[in-house]
Amino acid sequence: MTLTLNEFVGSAASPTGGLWPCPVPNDPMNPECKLYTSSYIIQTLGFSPAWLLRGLGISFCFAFVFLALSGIILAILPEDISVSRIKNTGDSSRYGYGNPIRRATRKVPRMVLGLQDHALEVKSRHFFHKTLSKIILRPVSVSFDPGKINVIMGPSGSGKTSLLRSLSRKLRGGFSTSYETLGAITLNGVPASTGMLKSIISFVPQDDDGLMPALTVRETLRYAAGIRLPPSMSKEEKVQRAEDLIIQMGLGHCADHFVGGKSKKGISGGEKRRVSIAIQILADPLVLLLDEPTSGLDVWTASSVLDVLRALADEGRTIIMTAHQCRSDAFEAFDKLLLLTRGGSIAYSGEAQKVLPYFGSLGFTCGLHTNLADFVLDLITVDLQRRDKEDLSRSRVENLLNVWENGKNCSMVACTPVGENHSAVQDIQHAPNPFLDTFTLVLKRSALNISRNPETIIARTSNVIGMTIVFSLFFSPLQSDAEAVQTRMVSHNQYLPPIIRSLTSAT
Amino acid sequence: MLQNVAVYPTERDIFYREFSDNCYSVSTFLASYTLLELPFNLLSSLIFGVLAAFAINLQRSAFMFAIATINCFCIVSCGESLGIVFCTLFDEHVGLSMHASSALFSVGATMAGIVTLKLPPVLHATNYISPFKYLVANVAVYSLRGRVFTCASEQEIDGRCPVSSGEDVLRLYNLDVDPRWNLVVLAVLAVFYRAVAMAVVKVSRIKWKWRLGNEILWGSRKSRTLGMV
Repeated sequence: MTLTLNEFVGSAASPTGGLWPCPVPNDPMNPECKLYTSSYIIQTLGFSPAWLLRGLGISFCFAFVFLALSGIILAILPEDISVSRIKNTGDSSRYGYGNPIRRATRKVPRMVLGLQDHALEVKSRHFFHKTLSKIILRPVSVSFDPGKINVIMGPSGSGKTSLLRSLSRKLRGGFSTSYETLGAITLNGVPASTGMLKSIISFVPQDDDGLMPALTVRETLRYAAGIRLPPSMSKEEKVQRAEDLIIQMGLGHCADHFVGGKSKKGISGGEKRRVSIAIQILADPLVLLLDEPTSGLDVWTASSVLDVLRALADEGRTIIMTAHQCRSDAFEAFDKLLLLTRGGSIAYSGEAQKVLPYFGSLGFTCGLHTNLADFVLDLITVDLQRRDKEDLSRSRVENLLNVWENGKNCSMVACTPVGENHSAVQDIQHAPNPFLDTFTLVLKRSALNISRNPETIIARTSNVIGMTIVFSLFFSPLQSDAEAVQTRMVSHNQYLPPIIRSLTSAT
Repeated sequence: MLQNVAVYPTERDIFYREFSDNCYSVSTFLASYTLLELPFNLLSSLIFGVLAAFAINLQRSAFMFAIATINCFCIVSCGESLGIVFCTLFDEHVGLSMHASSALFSVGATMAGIVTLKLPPVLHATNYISPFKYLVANVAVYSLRGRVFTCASEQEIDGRCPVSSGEDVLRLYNLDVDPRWNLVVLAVLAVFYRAVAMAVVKVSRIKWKWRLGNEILWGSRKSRTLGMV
């Protein structure tokens, strides 16, 4: 209103107000021109000139009132997280409390995953500078053995996750960055193609975002089985596979509990992690990559995840996981260790239990009360907090790297004898499921997820409906007099809110 | 509004993950998303149609109800498509995509033909792909044709109201056009926007293949480059 008045009247209003270009002779007093005078326009709009400053003041007050109001609401309103209903209590006594079932009878082909001079480089493009490239992993030659838990440790920024993603061929650049991999990846000593790698490797990301919160564990695994398992398997076989995994992963006691999400509590973090792992195990991968499977979990759940991994390793799979921090007893469960420093150089690679003697031989001994993993990580990390310490630790790390570089011997690296038959490696990339099958499954799953989430249903409809009601109260019923022309036209613009609501539901 | 933020990004994250595991295609995901969105969209459009035609009195007829419903349905669908596009482009920043798209919508709505009547050539050209333009051009015509406006005596000029019929209003706003085609174009745009959304999601998922092509094209400087496929 203030803006309109300012436009048409200004501060010093003449009796007729301003005059807008009038088609007939430009005279404010001419009745033909009445239509074009400011005072007429203001009058039809139903505004009073007195509101010029008043309107400004009131809008000003509104800004403050709303700000204060939001502050008060924020202070008063408690944050509450609802606990998701337990669908029906599973038979927990039958499967014990989440211990993985070991079935030594089952064996999978053993697969040695080797890296030969594998290096990783990230390139970032800028509009005005030339392309910058940064090496995140220096040429690495290591092998990861089947039937063992291979652990990659290192401080943040040492390229652990990038290495895993590169192994699973899941490195993706953004708009301005791209990754470049050098060197070769071998399977049982034979250079592997992307198709081969993709068909035998599964990757479990660090977070469990890929789970639908309103599905139960059993449903999650059944749908995943339907979507991920090849069309050659029958529906019953797929369901059976999902059921097998529930027992194998020790999820029997919570199979009928909801997974839960950010605002809705469901199964615990460790159980969620095991569900994520189970989904990746569905397709029976020979090599399983896990990004920080134990971080963010408490001791018991972390060890339950490690138990699962141990059981999988016992089946002959190659387990490769990264770890940032872990307890001493978890450290003891590791078979092979690859230590990376910041910048992606190897500080140690070999048997996990031999890492202490190795560092001991270099004059670094671990105190009795020091956490093994912490001790090792501290050794290879440059302390950036204090100047003198930084120089000291930097020279120590460089020393360690040099020692490793020089003492690199064949026994641990790349020359691991390959006892397995090469023919085990085949390009077994199976055909994707037919469109209609996956489509119905994806549709059913999302529908189930949505139908159990009343918030989503409300979110998807309430905005349009609410807005429509407010507008109806405001406009209705539209009259047929001169003032209504304006209202009626503007009412067409009420279509704006629906589109904005659709945006909010989309985002 | 906060709980609305929960719909697309969560589904998208699950899809991204399963897509990277080679489970199903972009079209499978978006087809199922669209199909699930339909009933909600239809329900809210019907309610909108009832209120717009009968309560707000755009015109109290079953015909106007149908027109309002179809328009609302199309525009909401366009909005959803644009939301998908922005959520794909700024996949880490929900807030940014919301701001970018709401800014775009405000501009589109301002250019629709009621608030601004004359546009500079560039904006006028871009307006041809704006659903708001077609929306206003058909709803306004359908609701205003044949309507008679009255006015108070002091507003009369030469003994008659400056605006006395719906057609007068339409002429005033330059909207005296054939509404049918505008409605058809709006429906086509709704489909087109969804197709664009699908294309954007597809492109965002195959970027790395293109990059590989680029590498081959320009020749790789390194001796052995394992591509990103």
